[in-house]
Amino acid sequence: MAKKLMAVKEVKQTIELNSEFGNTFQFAAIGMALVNQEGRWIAVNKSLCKILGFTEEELQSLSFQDITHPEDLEKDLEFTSQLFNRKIESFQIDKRYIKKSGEPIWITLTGSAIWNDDGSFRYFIAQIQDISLRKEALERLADRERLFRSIFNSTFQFIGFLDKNGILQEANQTALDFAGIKLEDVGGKYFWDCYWWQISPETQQKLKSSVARAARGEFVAYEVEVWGRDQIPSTIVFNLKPVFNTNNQVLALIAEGRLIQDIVEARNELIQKNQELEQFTSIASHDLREPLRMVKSFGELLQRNYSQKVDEKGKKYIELMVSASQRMGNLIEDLLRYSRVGNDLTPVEEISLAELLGEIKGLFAELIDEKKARLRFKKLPVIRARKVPLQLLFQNLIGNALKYQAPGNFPVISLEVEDVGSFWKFRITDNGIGIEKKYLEDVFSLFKRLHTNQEYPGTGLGLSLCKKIIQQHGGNIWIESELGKGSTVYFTIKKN
Amino acid sequence: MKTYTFLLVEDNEGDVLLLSEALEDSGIPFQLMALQTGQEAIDKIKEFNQDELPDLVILDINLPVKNGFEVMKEIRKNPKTADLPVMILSTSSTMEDRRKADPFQPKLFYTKPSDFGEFPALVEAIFAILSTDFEK
Repeated sequence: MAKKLMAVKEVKQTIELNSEFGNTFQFAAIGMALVNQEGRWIAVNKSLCKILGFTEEELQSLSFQDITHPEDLEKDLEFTSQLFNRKIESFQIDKRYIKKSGEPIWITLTGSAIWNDDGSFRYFIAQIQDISLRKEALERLADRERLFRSIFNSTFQFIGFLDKNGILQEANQTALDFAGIKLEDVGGKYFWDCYWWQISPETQQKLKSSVARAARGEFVAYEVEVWGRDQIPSTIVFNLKPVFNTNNQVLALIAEGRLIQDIVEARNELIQKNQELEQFTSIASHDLREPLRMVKSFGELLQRNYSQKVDEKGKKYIELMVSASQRMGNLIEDLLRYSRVGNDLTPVEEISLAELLGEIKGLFAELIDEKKARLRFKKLPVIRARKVPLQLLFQNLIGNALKYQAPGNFPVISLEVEDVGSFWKFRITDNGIGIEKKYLEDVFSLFKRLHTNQEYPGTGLGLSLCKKIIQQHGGNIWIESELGKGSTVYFTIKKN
Repeated sequence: MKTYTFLLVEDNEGDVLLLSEALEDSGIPFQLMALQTGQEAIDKIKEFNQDELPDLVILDINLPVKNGFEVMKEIRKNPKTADLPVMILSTSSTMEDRRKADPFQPKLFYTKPSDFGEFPALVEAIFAILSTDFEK
């Protein structure tokens, strides 16, 4: 104890003797201390007291071992021992002390030693810098990094970073797991040489040129088949997005992929089902024509050649048979026409609606004359559409407007076309018998009829056909109507 | 008046009846030989002497065993019948079938009438082919 007090006194004298050093020591912005061989604080400055929350006296009754975080003690002791044995001249470590309040604090410790003239150990000099703010900032950064990495890895999408030469820097866990590989397997390689893309040379080549485009600042997106685990092909939607620096130069590329195998399969199935269905309708109606031709033809022959040989009842039967077979013929023709919409290869072309409607007016000339109908077409534009379906569409709609009229009524039918941006909007208004509100949706269903054949003959396919044609043209069709007053058919056709 | 001879290759009995009925209605004298399969037609044509050949072969396309195209091919291959007038009478009206028939130079590709009322037009077309100034 006496020895220790001596030592303290000695040191104080030294500091006081060298007053310049003493001032520096006392008022230095960083914590400074002199520590003896056992680790006891011999002298501490104000900054250190402030950092640790102890008073000078309190600290002098403690050793650095007392207030070092247990996890950091070993490495501190190791360095101190090396210093003492003159194996090193100084050291610097980041470590934690425990403040008086009990909280740990991160500091940077620079340790060195002073030796007496005879070479014996005098004391350690410790410089202590508070780095808690920096540590906190780093920790926050690490937390953010962890957060972003967990998002990066847990998203359902495949994400990767490439440098602008196309070398894969990182790929997220989803992308790696999908292929059953590790980052070491692909990181640092050209992206197109990585496992996923080895499915075919064409796929690799396309990716390579896409990377080049993206590196020039383009956003590239396409659907592509890549390898999943065990070389099983899967379709993904893939895109490459360039990341720019403040000078608008491409820094890196973000690659993103999303599995759409389910969608692709469902879509293919749907396409196939649709094709089958259309084929079925087409074949069925085509094959139905054959026997029907016979029924119709021999019915007509019976009517013509054998009327005298049957009684009135027999004549009536034959008449009903012939008219039923004619109706069936109409049905088959309409069904065939319906199944062909969408299959036809008629090209999209410029069509003058004025010309087209002129032709349709001609088609109905007799009926228009007989019913004393008035047709008004306002300013008809030239539009791009498929001609045959469009003819069928107007033929059906104008035909309906003429047909569904109360007996003795003079039909007034008007057609207006409006330019509504990316669509043409059509409106065909008539003064016919109208449709009850509850049937406004139904009329577009296949074979839906609201009247008997005696009232208004028809197959129930006309509006279904119109709807199919409109859908083929990327539009919509709907009806507004008031029973007894007339109907307005609206439809849109996408410009292209 | 000349009596025209027709060889009709048609597996549908109804069509055979309807055509002969319509030909009768025209009042022009004719003889109709009807065969049901393509093979029968090929064999029959081989048997014919030059002076027994019909004025016109009327061919359906969808025939059992050998179809109409094959029958035409055989007819064109045989020097005796290479120039024999042939017409197609089929339910088909597709461009594809027309293209397939073209190399055999049928005089006419006619789609079967959908009812008896349309048969007179067919008969008219048939006699038009046989008139000397008919150009395909």
